[in-house]
Amino acid sequence: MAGRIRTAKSLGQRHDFHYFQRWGRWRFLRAFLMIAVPAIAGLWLLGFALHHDSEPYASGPLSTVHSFTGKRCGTCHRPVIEAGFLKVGFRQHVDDAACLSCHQAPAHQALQTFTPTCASCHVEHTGSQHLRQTADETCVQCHGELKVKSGSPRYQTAIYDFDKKHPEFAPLRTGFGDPGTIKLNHSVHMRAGLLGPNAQPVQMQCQDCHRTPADQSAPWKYGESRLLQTSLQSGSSADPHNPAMPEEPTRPGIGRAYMAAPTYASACQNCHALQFDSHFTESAPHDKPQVVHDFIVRRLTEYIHQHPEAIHETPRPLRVMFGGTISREPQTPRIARSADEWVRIHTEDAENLLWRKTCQECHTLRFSPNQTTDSSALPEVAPSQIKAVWLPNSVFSHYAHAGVNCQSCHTKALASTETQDVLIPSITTCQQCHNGNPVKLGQSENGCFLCHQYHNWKQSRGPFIPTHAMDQLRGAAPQRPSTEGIVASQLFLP
Amino acid sequence: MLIDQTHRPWLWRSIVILAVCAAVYVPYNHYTLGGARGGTVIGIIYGSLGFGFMIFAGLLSLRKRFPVWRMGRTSSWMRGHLWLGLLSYPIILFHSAFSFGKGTLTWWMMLLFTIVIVSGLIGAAIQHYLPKMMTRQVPYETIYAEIPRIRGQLLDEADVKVAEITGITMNQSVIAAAAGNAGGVIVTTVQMEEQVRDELTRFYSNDLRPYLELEGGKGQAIADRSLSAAMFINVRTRLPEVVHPVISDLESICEEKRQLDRQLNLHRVLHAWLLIHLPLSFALLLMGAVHAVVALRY
Repeated sequence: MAGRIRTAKSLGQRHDFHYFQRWGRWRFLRAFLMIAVPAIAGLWLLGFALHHDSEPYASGPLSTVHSFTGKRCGTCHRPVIEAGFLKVGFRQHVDDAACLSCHQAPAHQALQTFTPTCASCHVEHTGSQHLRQTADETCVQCHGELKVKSGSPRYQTAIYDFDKKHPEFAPLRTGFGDPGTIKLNHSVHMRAGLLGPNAQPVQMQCQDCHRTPADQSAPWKYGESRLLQTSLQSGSSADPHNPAMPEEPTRPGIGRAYMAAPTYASACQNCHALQFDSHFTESAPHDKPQVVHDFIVRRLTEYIHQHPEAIHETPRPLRVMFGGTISREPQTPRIARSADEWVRIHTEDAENLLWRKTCQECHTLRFSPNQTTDSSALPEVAPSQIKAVWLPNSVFSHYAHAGVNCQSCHTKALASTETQDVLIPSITTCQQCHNGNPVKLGQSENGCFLCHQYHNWKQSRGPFIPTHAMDQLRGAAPQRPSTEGIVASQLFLP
Repeated sequence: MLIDQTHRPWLWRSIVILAVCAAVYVPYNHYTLGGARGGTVIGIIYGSLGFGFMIFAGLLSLRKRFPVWRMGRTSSWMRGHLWLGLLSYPIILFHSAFSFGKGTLTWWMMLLFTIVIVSGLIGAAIQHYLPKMMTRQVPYETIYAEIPRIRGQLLDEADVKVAEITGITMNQSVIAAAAGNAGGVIVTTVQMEEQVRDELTRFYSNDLRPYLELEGGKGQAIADRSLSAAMFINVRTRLPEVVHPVISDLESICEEKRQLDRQLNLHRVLHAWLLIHLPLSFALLLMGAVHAVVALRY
């Protein structure tokens, strides 16, 4: 019995040479999947197309503020060319007109050499919650090497980022001093054991003088509460032709961005009383010299009419303040012969005290040349020029930094002795925290947008003209109105 | 396909292209306002290049479908498929600025793309190592599609071998065919006792034949080479020496069937990845085309 004989020929003869024409399970399965899977993908996309839903094609999620426009790309994306009712052009990129049909966007600077498109700074389809948070590069493309249409730039010409290549704040650069004229020694006022009202020792706090407009109505330690117009709006009006505006919705940060200029009434008057005559305990009003003069004359006239026996009194020492007698150079006591003369003498004495001593504690007074001979001439008080906003080209909010104590940033305040000292923090103080670009754990945002505004909202060019119906924005109505012609007006272009 | 010296030019070309793309990407990403994006001019160039490579890789199946086309050797196409397909992934990452896709379509495309590339790499590795293994483990390797046919032939051969010594037919048609070949009659060549015949018949019908009939060897002890060897030794011990040559033939048939089973298993491993790679590739190409049109438009 022969064993198995296996030759190449016998092995070859076993095969059916038409095998490749037959479809086996494996081949069939592969072919089926090669058709089915792309078909599923195609049907998936077709389903969206049939429902006019463009959502899957988006390069990313819409920002939260624009998400209401839904799944209709055409709300913002439109053909480049519109010829009447015909939309021509394959590309449907978002142009500025699409943005400006809903938004106002004042121009940046009249002298700027280049105006970026809206979408180049406010990048959509990134799921951003805040489109105003533009990338630094959008600003640096001009401010990295600033050029203007004519003349030379008023600002620093090479600014790249806040961390390293941002100049020091302008008021802190060399040669700049506080233009304020109020003589205030922070060091003295913050000293422990300072004599306060009724000669009681006090320890002053920054908030005793420096408060935001919204916090002005709270009790003051060394003055009276007051309401600033900037903090609150009038809720009633008697004028029927000019009805009062309702109050703006109250939010915590409103009226708490900047510190209001300290006033005498709220911060100073309890310690720095404006005594003008020993017959009175009340202070002279903290007002213009003419008002003070009129007040003094009126009060003295009233007094002498009520107390005619005082005409012949020997004048008492002028004023007692903080335990010491304040008087002018020794002079012969003047005794009045009539009520009018009594009023005149006492007015001269009171004003001499105020103009030469009390007011000059804080104010700079300018006397007219003939004041030495004409005692009735009133001095001029130099405007206080207290700056509420030191960096007018940026925004800052004390409210956002409320968790940090004042000395952490205003490091020089406690040691300051001169009015000219600029006490705003240096940029290095800000950079200690705002050093995150991009933001990482332990670092805070420091994009240009955080402090600077691109659009110059100080410009005003009349009311905004809306062009959309709600249905169009939501995608219910197919046609978007033409925005031709509105670009210039909404951009506030000159 | 073996990844050997012949791939070296493709490897170097791919490295050069990748290096150039990376060298362009760094300053492009640094100096472009808002960073690199798919919609910038350079981003679109990256996207076009990557998609072009993907299309080229996809054309391999078309090239294979028409092997007589004079458009380069299929092996060259295969190498191009491998290297340019792989290269398309980093280039598409340059296009997307290393984002995995923020939109729904782009996210799904990146997912499919990643699966396609990973399955392709796995496939390339399998195609590199498994054929060698198959050559070593399956000397009787045959055409995959012919395995059922060969299995049937082995079964018929075994039936005839057993019928020749026992006179018992398991499959009448086969025996008739064999008898026709032998001049019209099957002659039992061995005189044996009834007990021995029964022993051989029982072994064949209970152990060997079911295994030869079955695709694969699941649940069959004889499918295991060592168990099979023990079983055949046992059969030889109990049967007279005169039938040992037939037993050896049966063992040889069993070994060939075992190799066919092994080939089946290896073939599944060798080609299973294609069930993922190919359909997803075509879906990806379709979605990529849609993405290209929509992205350029909007």
